[in-house]
Amino acid sequence: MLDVVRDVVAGVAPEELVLVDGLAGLDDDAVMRRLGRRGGRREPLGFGLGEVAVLVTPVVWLVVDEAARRFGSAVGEDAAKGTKAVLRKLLRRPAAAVVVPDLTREQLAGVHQQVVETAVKHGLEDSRARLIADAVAGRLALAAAGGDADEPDGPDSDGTAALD
Amino acid sequence: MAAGTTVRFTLLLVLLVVSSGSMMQAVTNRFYGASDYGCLLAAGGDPNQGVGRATAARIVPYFDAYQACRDRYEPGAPLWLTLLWPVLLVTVTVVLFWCLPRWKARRGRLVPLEAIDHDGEIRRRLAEFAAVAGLDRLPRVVVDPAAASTSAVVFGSNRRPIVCLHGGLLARRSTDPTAFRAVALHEFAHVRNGDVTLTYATIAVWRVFIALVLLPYVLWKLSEIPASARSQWWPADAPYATRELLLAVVMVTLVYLARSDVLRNREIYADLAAVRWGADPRGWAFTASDQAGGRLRRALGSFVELWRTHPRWKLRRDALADPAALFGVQALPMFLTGAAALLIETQTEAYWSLAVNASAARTTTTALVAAGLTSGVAGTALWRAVAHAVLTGRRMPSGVRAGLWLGAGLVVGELLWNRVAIGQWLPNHPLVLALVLCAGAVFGWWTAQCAQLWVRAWPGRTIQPAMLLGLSAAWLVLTSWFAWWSSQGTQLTSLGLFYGAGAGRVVQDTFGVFPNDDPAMLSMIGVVLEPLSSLDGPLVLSAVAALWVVPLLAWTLRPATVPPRWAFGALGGAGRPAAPGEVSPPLRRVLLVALAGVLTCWAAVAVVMGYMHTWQSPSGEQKSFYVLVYQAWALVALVAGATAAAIAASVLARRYRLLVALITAESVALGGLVGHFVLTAANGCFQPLNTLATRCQWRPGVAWSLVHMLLGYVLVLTAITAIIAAAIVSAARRAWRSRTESTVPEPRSGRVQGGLTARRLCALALSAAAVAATVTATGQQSSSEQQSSSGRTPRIDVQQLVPVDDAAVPDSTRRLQVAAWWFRGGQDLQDRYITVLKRLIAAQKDAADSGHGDVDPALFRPLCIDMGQIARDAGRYFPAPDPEIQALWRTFITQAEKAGGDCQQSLDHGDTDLFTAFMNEFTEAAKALVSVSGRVLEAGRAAFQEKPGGLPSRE
Repeated sequence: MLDVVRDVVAGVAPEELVLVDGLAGLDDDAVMRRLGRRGGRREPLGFGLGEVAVLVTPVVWLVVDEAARRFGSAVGEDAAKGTKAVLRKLLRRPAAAVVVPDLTREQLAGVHQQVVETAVKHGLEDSRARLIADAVAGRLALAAAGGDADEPDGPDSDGTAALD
Repeated sequence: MAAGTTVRFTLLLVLLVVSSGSMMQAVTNRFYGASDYGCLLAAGGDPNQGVGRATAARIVPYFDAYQACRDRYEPGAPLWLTLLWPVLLVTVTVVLFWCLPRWKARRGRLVPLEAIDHDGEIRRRLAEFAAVAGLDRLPRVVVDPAAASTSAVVFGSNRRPIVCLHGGLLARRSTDPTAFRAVALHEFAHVRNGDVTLTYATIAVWRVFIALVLLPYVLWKLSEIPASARSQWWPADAPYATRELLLAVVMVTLVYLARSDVLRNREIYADLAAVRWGADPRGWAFTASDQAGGRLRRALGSFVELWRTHPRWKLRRDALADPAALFGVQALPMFLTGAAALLIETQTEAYWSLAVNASAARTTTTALVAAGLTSGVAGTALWRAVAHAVLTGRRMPSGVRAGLWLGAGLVVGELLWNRVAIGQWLPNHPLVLALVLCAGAVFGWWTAQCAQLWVRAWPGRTIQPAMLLGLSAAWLVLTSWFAWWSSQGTQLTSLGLFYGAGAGRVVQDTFGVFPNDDPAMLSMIGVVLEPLSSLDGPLVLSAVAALWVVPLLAWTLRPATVPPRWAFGALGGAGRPAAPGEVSPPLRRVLLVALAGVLTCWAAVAVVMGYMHTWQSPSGEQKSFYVLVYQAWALVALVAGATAAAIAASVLARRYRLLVALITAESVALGGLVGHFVLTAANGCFQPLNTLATRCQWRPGVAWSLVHMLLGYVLVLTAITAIIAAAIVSAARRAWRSRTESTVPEPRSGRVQGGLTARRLCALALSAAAVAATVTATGQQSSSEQQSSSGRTPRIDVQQLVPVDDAAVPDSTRRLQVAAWWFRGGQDLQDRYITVLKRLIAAQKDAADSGHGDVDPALFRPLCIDMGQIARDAGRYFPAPDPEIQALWRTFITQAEKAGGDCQQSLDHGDTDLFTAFMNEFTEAAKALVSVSGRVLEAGRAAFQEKPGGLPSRE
């Protein structure tokens, strides 16, 4: 899943790659929880509640993760629930990596729609939202066709860079 | 200039640490009976009539008995238990402070910069910013990739700061490098300004305080209310309970508001530093969602703003161009400082009362702490505001409004604590609290004028020495105020002035009985003397000296005609300072007015002598009452002369009315005292002025003793009247100005009239005279204190001074008083008497068994001693609250006393008749005691039928 996000972000918002790298170092559940949170926190000695940047990475991450969980194997779900999850948190072990399965055409269309909606909700313009949705759907379709979901050389080969 | 925020953080930390012990003491005391009313009732007090008043009237005459009763039955939480909470608070805070950054930067939440900055480019840029900010090395940097805000935050400590960059900021760094630089420099400014440790220490201590103190305290106090509401003492308990809960609410509000206010200031300082280091002000150009809309909306916005740790963006942007917001004196911080200072003072005193009995040392120490923090916070704010106004040529703050807010805070703090209204909603004399407001206003007014004088005159490289001098003087003045208020002011608020007749008795007890006195005059002197006697202590005298000597010293400086060196750094790089523009007002004019005042004083003293001459006894032999009245009128004459001079000086002065009035009046007072000395020493030489003597002779010894006696009073009263005079003149000038709408003529700038050397000499001579007079007056005060402590202590019936309505005590309370009186000491004395009785019977039986019937003196003597001791102890114990029981109790004491004496004498002289008398007295005492216990049982039975469950308690 991480590669899919990285490839898409590298294509549509390369300046955010550092965020993908950063999120990769965090626990999946923690990332989902915190990316889903809207607004910032007022912290003493912070710069103050300024602008909230409209970012691509959270949109892509949230949708791809949800797709992986919805259409993927039950392993991921198990990992996030029950006593195992509690133990994992206590031991500070990262959750099992979420793997995106091969998606059908209908599923890809659904993901596309989901990206557009989420992106608009996050404040991205409609045209930009569609561009990102195309990139996500394209990257997922490529993975399904070539079975190279785990290979990191996606951005240059899948053509999404041209869309940026 | 110092920002003054560190001392504000310190004020909060001290408040929390001090409150932790005293608030938990209020909880733990419950387990040590300290909240019971038993001893108060035993002394005949009625809690529902106001504990303070009842305490004064009933307990003061039997204070030792009351203290012994409290120590035995209602001791309160021990010192170690009370000190445990501050220690616990500090320990847990240290642990939390250590854990907080580790928890924030824990794995899985934040990532180190190195993990994402593969080519080291971000680090290089940050290192560059850190170097610009003057940091020795780049702090540890972590990243919160999940945070979309274009912000950053610093946490940890000053030694080990951790800067956390938010994901949004990192994503924007290439498209908006201006914002990236601004944010990074802002965070580094926090590190450079040393904000990190204090901020997070305050947060840590507050969180620990909530968990360890505030929550248990509130829960406990809430749980006590239902039982308390059913109690007969609810009228006395309700104000306690309300204040205790209000205290919790005020603590939360106070800490949040004060902390947020300080943090907002620190943010602006960090912004200014960032811009000074090259950050582009456009980095602050985003987010324009500042307040708009109707008045209500704006008011709501301003209210919400008070609780935020960051100022509005508009304010921040405006502050970059003009940091006036940092130098203004605002009402809220002043009010909060006042409230916090008073809570610190009262609560520290509560600690001390557990450890130290000497009330003077206790009062001075707590006053020093509270005044130090108050003058540190409020004084610094005023100095900054004045310096800013001087350097930017803006409107000068008078300091009065700020002082009034400070005073309002002090009043609120006082009303939150059970000191001026114990067991009552309001104090008996609430108007006295206006004195606190006045004291705040005078503090603000004086500090602002003193600051203005020194700021305009100071030529040095840094303003710190001048500021330190001014603030130290303010500290001394406030210390004397706090000490006076906590010892005398609070008493005045709860009990009022002494009543006339009783006050006259106090004078007689102090000075001796005057055969030819005038009762009305005696009462008046007594009423005035009581509050006056607390005013000539060393602390007050030093404060008065500081009030006029510290401003006077500013005249010794060479006036600056160009902006002094310190002014360039004082504004934090924002704006160029203006020239001082004004020199100190000419000292010559002040001295001329003072000279006229001195002559007026001499004339006034001569008039007093002429008046007193009409009373003079033909023999020339003067009674002490005559001397007392003569001294009283001389005091009035001197103070009146000095006040007249103060009025004239402040009318003539265009600026610094208060300071000029003080300097003039005090100089006149000293000069007037010289006249008093000369005229008294030469008494007898001028026929119409003869008072103390009829023969012309130079008597410096007598004159000195009389002047010495008045010295302290004259200095202190003159200062008070000079302040009042200056206030009235200022208010009148203000009203006149607003009516005529003319502007104040701008003060002349440039050359000073008169030579610098002459001015310096005059100022130094007056200062030296002030110091000498203060030292002399302090010496007089301490020697008279020694005399009174070594001499007889007047036993005054306090009920004459503070009458309470005895008839208003309800029967049920009276019965409880009787029960309490019995169980808190009466019964104990009875038991001791019965023990002696048993031993006596046994001894008699032994004597009878021995066959010859003779008593063994060795066996009987200890019994005689014990009996005498019981009689003496019973005499020292409270009188019985019921008149009939008291009559019986009196009989018991008298008979037991006689029995003890007769017993010893009969044994010493082998007098059998006396021994028989002793046995009779002993029996009479026993009979009286039996009657007492019978009456007590009757009353007790009735009381317990009304309210079963033993002795009443406050809860």
